[in-house]
Amino acid sequence: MNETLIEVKNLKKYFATKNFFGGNKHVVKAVDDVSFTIRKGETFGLVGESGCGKSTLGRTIIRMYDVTDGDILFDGTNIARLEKKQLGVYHRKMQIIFQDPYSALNPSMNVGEIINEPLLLDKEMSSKDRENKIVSLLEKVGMKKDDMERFPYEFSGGQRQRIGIARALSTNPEFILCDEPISALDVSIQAQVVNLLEDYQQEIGVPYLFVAHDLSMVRHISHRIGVMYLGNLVEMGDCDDVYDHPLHPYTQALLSAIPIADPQKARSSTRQTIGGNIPSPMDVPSGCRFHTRCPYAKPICSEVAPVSKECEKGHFTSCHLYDE
Amino acid sequence: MEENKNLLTIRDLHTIFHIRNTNIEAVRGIDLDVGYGEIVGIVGESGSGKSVTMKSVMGILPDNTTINAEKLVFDGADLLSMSENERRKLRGCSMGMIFQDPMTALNPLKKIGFHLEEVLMRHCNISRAEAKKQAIEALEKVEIPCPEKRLEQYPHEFSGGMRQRVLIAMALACKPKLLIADEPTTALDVTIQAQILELLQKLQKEEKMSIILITHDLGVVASLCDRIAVMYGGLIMETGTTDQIFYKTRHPYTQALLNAIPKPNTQLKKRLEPIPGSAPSLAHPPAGCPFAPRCTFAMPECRTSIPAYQQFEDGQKSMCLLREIDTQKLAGEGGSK
Repeated sequence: MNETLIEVKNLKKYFATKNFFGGNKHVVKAVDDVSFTIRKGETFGLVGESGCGKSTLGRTIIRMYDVTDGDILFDGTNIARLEKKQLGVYHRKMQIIFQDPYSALNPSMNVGEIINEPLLLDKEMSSKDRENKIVSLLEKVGMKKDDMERFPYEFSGGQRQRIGIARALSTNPEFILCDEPISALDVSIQAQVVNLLEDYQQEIGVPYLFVAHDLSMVRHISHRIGVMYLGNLVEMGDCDDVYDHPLHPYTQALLSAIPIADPQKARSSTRQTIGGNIPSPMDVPSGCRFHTRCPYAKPICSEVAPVSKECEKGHFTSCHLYDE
Repeated sequence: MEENKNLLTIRDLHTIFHIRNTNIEAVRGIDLDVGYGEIVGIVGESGSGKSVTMKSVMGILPDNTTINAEKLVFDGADLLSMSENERRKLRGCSMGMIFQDPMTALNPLKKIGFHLEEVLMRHCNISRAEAKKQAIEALEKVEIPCPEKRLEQYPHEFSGGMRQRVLIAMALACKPKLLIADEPTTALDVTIQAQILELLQKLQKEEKMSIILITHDLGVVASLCDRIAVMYGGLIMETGTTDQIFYKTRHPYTQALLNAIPKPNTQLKKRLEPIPGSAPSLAHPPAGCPFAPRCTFAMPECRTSIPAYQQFEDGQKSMCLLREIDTQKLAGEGGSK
């Protein structure tokens, strides 16, 4: 459980927006200098508001995007600068489950073909083997063999997400990026999908990077979590440590904004709302990126960017409040 | 007498869509009362009919719809016998509505000021200059900084949270008695959601209006609403005060919904208890209780006819044959699935 599978070091992913004549106009620093590790068998939850770069970080790690700078060590191998050809084998080891099960499945392929597609990468598999594999995958995600012949439009959102999961599992991945896998689903269906993911992890021990904005669901599924704000990882630690004793003012505000599904607790809790909006990632504030909204901002916060410190064991934050 | 007590009274409302040659009954006979100054939450999954119910009340459904009701009374006036003209006057003036998606509810080619002034000039019979003055006040009320400058800007210059504030300002411009908020925070981030909910709560106290809040998020209703109606398959499964719904749950669907979400602030990571199966199709609804196919407690009679409401002494109402839920049984079976 404590063995590191993926180590991300000072990862940067910038997007350049082009102006009318094709020249670079703005640089969006979607992920800026992020370091963390994902251990074998754990679920690492990544939370933050929309536009904070959490999905970009996940997708850069599995090399759907090219890396601007920094290293990604997958089981000891640096995959940050591998070319497309060399990446093939890693793409099989790292899979993704998408947010929107309506657009993630090709509508003109039936379920069998959808799940078969990644299996074709393995040239040694016979078509009989592949079919058996598809049936066992469908059963694993709670669907029937007959569903192979059916098309995505015949299924509900929750069932489509199961097909997406079966496809992700088909290559026996060593790591799965869950990119908001439950956000588009109804409450009663969310629990089905979360339980399915948990069961599979217990069986195989595959680690997940679970990106979501539903903070209570992230708490439920994660072992450790990271909180992102404008491309930076502002706090990271064991799930219960972060939720019970948040250190960074942003995490505190984010957590107190969760609507509590318990009327008495909701009435008694004092909400600490932060004003303002998340600044544009094209024009990030100087120093600490949160200083424009932070209730505790000091002069130093607008000048010097804080570095990440270990305040308690395994609990990191980057905030000047915790400077010695 | 009832009319004096309640701002809105709905009795046996049916809303039917005629699509090609089929009739789809999205709302299948619901009763709902909203008192003056009350915040009522309507909770349900997608396709449960919660938005259609409120659009029926507003009268903003397309032409291929039939609305049948025994009674539909708003502030003492019978909505069913009203002409389209009279209803239009009511909308925007006494009833305001805000929608889920603040990105598409505004015209991208028109300035924010135009949106607000249009509402005010149409409903309040005032000059453009006066409308502009009131528009500035309306933006101040929803806590948008520098309203004079903001009126001259276009929707794309506003963030999601700010757009939702503009929509609230538009809905409240004519001081409505009822505000219908259809998933007002679903498209927003949690920190912005908290801001908007706080704003709605503050405005409700200031204006003493009633709010109907449509949402799928049990957390949102818990902190805001006085009473809750839980909808499923076009029917109201259970109504009661917020505390009754959360602590004295009487309908298996409500209980299952509460069990399917992670418990707030607990160290203990209990396994979630999902509701097996999926929601029924509205084109072919089950003959009996719509929840029966997924219900742990379903009995043979649940599948043949829709159960009658049980009225409890404390005002709670539940559309179920059971008087009490054996939570032990629910936990046991839900966990083994």
